[in-house]
Amino acid sequence: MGKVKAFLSKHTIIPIWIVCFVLASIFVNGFLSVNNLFNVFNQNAMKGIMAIGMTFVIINSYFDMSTCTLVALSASLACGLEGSIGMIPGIIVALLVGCLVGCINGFLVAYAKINAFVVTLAMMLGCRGVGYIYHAEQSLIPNNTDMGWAFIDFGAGKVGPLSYISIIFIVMLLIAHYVLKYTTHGRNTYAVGGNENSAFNAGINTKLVTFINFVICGFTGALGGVLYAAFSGASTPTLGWPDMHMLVIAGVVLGGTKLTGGVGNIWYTLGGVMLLGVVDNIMNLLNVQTYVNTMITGLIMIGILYLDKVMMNKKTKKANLE
Amino acid sequence: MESQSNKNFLTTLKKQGIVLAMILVYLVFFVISKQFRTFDNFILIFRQVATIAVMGAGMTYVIIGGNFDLSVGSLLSLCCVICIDLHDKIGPIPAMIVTIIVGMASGVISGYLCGYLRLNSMIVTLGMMNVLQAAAMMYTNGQFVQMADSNAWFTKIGKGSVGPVPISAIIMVIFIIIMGYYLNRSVYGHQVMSVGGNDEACRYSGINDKMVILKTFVLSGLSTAIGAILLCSRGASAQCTIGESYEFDVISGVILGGASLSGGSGSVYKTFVGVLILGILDNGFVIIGLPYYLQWVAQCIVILIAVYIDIMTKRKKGA
Repeated sequence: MGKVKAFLSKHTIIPIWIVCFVLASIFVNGFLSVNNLFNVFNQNAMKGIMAIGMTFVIINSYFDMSTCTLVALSASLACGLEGSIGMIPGIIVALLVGCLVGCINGFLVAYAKINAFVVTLAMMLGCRGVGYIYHAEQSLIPNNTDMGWAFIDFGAGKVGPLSYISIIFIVMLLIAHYVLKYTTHGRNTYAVGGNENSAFNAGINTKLVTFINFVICGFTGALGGVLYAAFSGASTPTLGWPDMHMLVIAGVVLGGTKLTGGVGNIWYTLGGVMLLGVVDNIMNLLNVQTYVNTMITGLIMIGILYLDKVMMNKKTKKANLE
Repeated sequence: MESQSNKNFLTTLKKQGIVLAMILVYLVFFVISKQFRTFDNFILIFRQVATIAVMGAGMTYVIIGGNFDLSVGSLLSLCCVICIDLHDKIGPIPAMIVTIIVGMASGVISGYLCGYLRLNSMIVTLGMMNVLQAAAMMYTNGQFVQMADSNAWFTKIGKGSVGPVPISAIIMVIFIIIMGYYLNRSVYGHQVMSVGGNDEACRYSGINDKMVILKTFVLSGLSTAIGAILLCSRGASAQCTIGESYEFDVISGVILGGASLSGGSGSVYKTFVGVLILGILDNGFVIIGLPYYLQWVAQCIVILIAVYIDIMTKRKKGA
């Protein structure tokens, strides 16, 4: 029993999930059905994919604000290039642009040592500008069906109850788990996030680790954008603006990954993102007005942060007593 | 003797690099465009930056204290709709008082959460951003609010001018001077700097660091409310999303002004210069007829270059 308690107080997202889930199942009609739960999962898979990259960067003790406009940029490239160079090359270009943005972020943060907030805020504005220029104030709709199936078929396609996008999400989760837990890069990420100086003294190439993490984040951000485009069948310049990156960061942090770095894992991120998704779903099922929905999401964000803090405080007090 | 004063002059120049950058940006547009050169446009820039400059003064305090306030954009929307809506119902002066109280109350809430409960300011103010945005939408039911008489004396605050000088610019300058003076000369200002630098050391030396942090958020709320009055009185109307993404402009200005994001140093006056640079870019790009979006790309490049230069000079000093 003590073991279970220790486990739960270490992984605060699990008790929060249980409480939320039980309350929702009792009080919300239609919440507890297989269909609805898979629906929540499918809807939030794209945000989850972006959160995977963000988890790497946050464990590395930085964060990336450029995701929110990178989404629109990559979505527009994937949609817009389909007519000229084909679907698959278009998607590849979009993903490469994501990696490029990640490279710039990573270079400026790791090698030029500029504050990550400033760098990614500036890149956010830059991506936004480029995205708008590429869109020329119009929505882009891909309609090329040369290959027998269109872009949107991929976004809407399903295997059983899971959409293709969710399957990509699950695969990426497993890869990310493997990378974080069993590879040198993953271990180095935790070390650099925990204490950069001692990691440097232990012979880790801290700059390279940070750089790679930002590239990963750029890649997943672009992939999220491409999948959003596939999901909705179009891209608009305002996709993701103004708070996509905030929702992603909030998801990661609500899961229990610390913004100070060095602590966290990929399953926390899954829990955090899906928790935000479930809250949104509950509001919809209860027919709450959009405004109220926004407000309650904000309150819950603060509330969960507070709960997490209280639990952590109890733990440290206990540790001090012992 | 002369070389000594020369050296002093050079070091002050280096310290005021951001002012040089502003003059440079201004001169570039000055040479390129004839319309930009006019006196009217010079005045217009001040009118345009008034809101962001006032908000930037408050944000400087928050950032020096080592926190962020992402909720100012939504708070601006809320204050604007409240001020415009109440203007016809209870009169202009009570409306302004209520607006300022709302701004400061929001500051007290986020300040309490960040200062006393020690929650991460980014997520807290992000939550507050959602809450305040929703409050603004609920207040207006998503509709546009407008004053019955769009020439009431209240609108003179935003539209009127004394001689050639806009009233909003006068208010802005007075507010910035007060805030700058308060930061540099008061005990509280020094406490903010030291709490931002090392809050643990402050606690041991007897400073009530929680209260200091709370007050920074209150000041940010206050300046947002004043910014809202300047903004909504100019248009005599408001919309519940009027302040969307203002927080990024404000934070960009503070960053350009050289405030350290890890807390501990910064200046209200330099923030004003940073905001002015962004304002000049904004104005100049429209006047020379480039696509509006290019301004964001330019903003991105300007911020990165400015911060890079700032860091390089600081590093040289350290070495």
